[in-house]
Amino acid sequence: MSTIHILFGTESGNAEMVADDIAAALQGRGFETEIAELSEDVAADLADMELAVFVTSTYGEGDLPESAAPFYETLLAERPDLSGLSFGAFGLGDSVYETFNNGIDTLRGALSGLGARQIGETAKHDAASGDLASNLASSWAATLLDLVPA
Amino acid sequence: MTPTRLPTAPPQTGFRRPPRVAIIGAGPSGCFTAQALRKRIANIQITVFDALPTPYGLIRHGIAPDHQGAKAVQRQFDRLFARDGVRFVGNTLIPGDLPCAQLTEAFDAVVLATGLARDRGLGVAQDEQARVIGAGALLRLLNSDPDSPLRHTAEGVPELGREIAIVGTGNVAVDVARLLTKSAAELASSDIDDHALHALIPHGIATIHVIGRSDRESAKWEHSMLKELASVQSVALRFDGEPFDAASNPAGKSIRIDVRFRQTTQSITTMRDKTLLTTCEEGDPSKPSQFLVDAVISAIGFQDDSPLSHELDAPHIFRVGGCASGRLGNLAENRKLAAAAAQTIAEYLARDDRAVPVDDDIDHLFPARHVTFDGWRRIEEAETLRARPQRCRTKFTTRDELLAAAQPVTDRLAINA
Repeated sequence: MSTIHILFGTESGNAEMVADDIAAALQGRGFETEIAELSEDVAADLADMELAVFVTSTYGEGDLPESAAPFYETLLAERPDLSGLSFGAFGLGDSVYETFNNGIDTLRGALSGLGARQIGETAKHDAASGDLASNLASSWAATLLDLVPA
Repeated sequence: MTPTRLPTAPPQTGFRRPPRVAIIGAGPSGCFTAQALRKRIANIQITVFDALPTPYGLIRHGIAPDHQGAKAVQRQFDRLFARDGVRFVGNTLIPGDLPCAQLTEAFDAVVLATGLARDRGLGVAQDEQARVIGAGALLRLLNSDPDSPLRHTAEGVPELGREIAIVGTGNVAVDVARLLTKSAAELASSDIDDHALHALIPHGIATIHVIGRSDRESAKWEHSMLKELASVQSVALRFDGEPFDAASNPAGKSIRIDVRFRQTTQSITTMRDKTLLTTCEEGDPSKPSQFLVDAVISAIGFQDDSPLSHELDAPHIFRVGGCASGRLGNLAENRKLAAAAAQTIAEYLARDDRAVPVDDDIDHLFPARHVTFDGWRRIEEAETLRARPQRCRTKFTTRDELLAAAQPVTDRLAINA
């Protein structure tokens, strides 16, 4: 069975916690998981991955977290062929701000533009809702599993 | 500082008991440091102390009460205490309840994460009768911090009046302006201290002058924060006389927020029963401006007033966050600083030649009335259960209430009987 890569971009650590939760949910169903922070190296390895889950928050004027910028820029500059990659997308945001959850949409657009295929719905957690991101992460990961190619 | 600490017997690579680390201050810097240390050293034993009965510092008492989403970062730390074996010891003032020497002798490393507790003063001549209030103290009051200085004045919570000036153009200034101008409906699902807010502005606000030293481009506030302020229903926001955006048309708006840039504060005096703030443009006294207001709020940063900052110094004592950097950054910045500090601490703990504590028991160090993480959970539950309509919780505002709520229910019954 192939490994599911769980790749996160974070500034305050919330997306990393969600990545941990998704990994736990997937492991509970017998999948192998690898967690990594979005980086230049991850961008270089992406073309060899078959299954990935992207988790990111939104900062500033709707940007990706600062730490994920090198990943995003490398992706745009190198334009790897991602036609072998299926991915799930989980965004974290705060509806207090207009740019609520722009970050994950930016990332989805880039990945799709390089040939990657999204599976499942994009999860968008709203911190202002008071619901726990961990709860949404677990239930969303469970629905994703049904869509994962065997 | 370390008279009874013994160097490790001959440098060796064999078994050593898990390192024991004390973190003083359960705010974001202390908690991010605990989290980062645990990631690096799986079996580390961490105790996080706080002078208050409650953890989370500025997450609970600094982040604005209408920004509950930002406060959700505490869920990461709940996990640290509830699942990952990090211990919370609240209601424990160091050195008052636990002398520094005992602490530094009992732990392999001690991390100061005490933040910056005081508002920085305006640094100009100031009439004693003038009403000048720190933005940090104000936010702590509206966030129900039992120790906010504004709760403990002779006259009670001071009334701000209808015309105020805020000195400073950072996010804290925006938080204050927004909280004082939002309607009751706009504060729905916050946990603002309604009594305190009413005591501050019983007749509402008419005008806020925001006075900044920098120019418009270099002001520190974030644009997303300004957009949020401009969208407050009754607010017309103007920058040097120009509307901030189309939504800031003054028609039908009852509150004016006028921002003035490049203003250096010159003096604070009084005129009749009002406070007079005098500024000049870019420090040029020939271009003065005067603002006659009911109160001036200083929002130009914070400073340290912890005695620990001077008292503690040894190779196994580390500092992180505000008390190390001299400024209170946002959560993301402090998370980065905490990761860097954790790396330094982990390298120290890995050294063979460092001193190790002799005493193996630390429980006897904790004061009898300390609050555990379970105690905090009971406080949190009680505050949620007693939430007023339109509020996500209603916090306790005194240490006595917090300590009572921290007691297990069986003990509370016993006390009542």
